[in-house]
Amino acid sequence: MNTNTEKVWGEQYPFERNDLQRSMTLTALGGVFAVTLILLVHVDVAAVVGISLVCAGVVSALAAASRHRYVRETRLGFGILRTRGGGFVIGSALVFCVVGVFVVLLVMLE
Amino acid sequence: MLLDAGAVMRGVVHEARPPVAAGGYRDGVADNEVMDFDGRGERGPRYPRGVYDVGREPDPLYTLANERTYLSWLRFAVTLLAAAVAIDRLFLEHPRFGSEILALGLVVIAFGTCGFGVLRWWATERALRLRQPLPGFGAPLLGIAAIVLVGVGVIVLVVTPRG
Repeated sequence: MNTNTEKVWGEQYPFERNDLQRSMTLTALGGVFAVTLILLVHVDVAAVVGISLVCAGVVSALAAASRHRYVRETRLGFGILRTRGGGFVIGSALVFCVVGVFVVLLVMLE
Repeated sequence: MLLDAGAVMRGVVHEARPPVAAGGYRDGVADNEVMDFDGRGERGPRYPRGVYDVGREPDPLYTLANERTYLSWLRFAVTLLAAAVAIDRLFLEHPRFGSEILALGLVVIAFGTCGFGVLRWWATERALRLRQPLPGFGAPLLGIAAIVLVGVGVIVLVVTPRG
């Protein structure tokens, strides 16, 4: 019987690095999306930067909520991975495809 | 009681286990379990079913590492997309056929990289759940070769005098 389901890496929880890397990757994806959009439809840069900041805030809030959930479930002794699936993997790949299509449009149309 | 050195470092203690054969395999299956959970957190089916309907729950640390590997592939793909946008902008004033091909090639490789990432995540997760050996590293090497070819294309494009 394993006894320690809480902090297994010093002050870190097992999922801590994943949460951080998810946020970093989504922010990078959002950055490429914003730049592509600015170039593609010649939108107001200030407006896009403002919207991007709001989106970055939303991503940060989602990351915080996700971390809170995992901390709670880990403390309750749930299997971390029993409560999560491949939704993020498939979802982020689909988002990447959308951004990729925008880049193709940028290269072909401009 | 047998103690796993890595598990002890992580503060996890196991019950006695049968001896492991050379190579980390016991009875033909991988011994990749370091940290177990009680399994009280089952919350219905998980998506994608093709991954989670097979085998049994692996050590969370390994599947978390698997997801981080996928995230690395995705970041690499995003970088390639950014490079495609940069090349497109660099040659905006004097567009050349080669620059468009190169930018589109980078986008194609980026899509391939993202697809590879998903496929490898899928295959690795299944292998972990089925306690089977992990997939090889052949396909990513092809990706690296493609990146080298694109790099050569960039050099040729930059070195060739503009007409």
